[in-house]
Amino acid sequence: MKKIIILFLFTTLYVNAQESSISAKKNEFRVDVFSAIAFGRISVSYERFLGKNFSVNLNTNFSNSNKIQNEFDGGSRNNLSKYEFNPSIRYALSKGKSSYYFAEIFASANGGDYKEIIRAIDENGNGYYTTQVSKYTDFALGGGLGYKMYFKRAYAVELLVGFGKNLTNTIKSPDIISRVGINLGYRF
Amino acid sequence: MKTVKLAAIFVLFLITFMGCNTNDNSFYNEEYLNIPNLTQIQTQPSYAVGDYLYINSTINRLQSESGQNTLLDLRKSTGNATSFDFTYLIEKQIDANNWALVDASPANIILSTGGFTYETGNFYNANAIFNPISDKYEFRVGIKLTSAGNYRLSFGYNSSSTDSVEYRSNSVGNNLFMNINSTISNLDSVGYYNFTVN
Repeated sequence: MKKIIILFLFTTLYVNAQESSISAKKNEFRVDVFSAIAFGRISVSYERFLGKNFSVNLNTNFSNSNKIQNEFDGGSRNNLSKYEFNPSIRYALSKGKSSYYFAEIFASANGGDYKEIIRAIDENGNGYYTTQVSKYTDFALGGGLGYKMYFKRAYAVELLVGFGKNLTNTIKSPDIISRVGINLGYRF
Repeated sequence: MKTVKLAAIFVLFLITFMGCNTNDNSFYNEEYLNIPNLTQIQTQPSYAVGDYLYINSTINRLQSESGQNTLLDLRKSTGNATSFDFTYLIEKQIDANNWALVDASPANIILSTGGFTYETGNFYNANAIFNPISDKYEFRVGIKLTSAGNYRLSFGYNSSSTDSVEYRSNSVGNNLFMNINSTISNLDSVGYYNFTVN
């Protein structure tokens, strides 16, 4: 019984020490390994912890997926997202610091290529249909839910599911911006 | 409990916020045209056993297009598609409520121009193939009427169209697919040309 009480005390002290140690660190960098593998997308994030369960986050994405490029070329999609800048505000839904749920609202400045069919005139004066690729940019708002846990007081694993809606140019841009990821990070 | 409520409200917010999608997950290399009378049923006043029922199709490479003041080049639009394809059926009545597709195996057809595939029991696949000499896509096939009875001809396998033939270019690679909706004479209000073989 004595051993159990001592073990419990040590465990409590360790968790408190780890949580206070984590709280003292205000910055975090992350890389989204899921997006890299599934979508060929480079996605990196920086998070600044403000206290009182709030933090601000900036995520940037750059896409270069052959699969999605082929779908765009083949006509399965008419837009090809190239980049996203996603600032967000997060709120921790759980009390814990070493692992917790959070919710975020985010904005997104995003852009890429858009393909449309146009009627052109050839050198003989005849019309013909062809595809034309142009650039698009748009602005989205959205939200997400996630879960984060820390190992060794610094290494983070974060799961995130979120969606946003483009607002200004949806004829050309994708209607929905998804923020689904499995991030690995370092807090310092 | 408060956290769970917050999360539930947030998920509902997300679902509502996402709404519906208007321009994702479709196929975008498609263009649609309406050009009347590209197909003719070579009708006869009466039919006898052993006659052939011909379907003719001629599509000029250059087509006038509603709302445009220049001709449309179908070849260039489709990346030099080799053919425009459509489907049709000739069925014979086998009892009061049932019809059977007429056998169009090679012994029972006359293939003058174009391509033809008999999808046994289902439909006929017709290919109006481009002829560089005439500068047209052409198809002409006769199907032998081997027995007396009531027959009906229709266009489009599982198509809801009742007054037109639906062509689709045989485009390859990333080239555009041209879909031509072409109205045709001689069909009744439900899309059949009915005739009797004596």
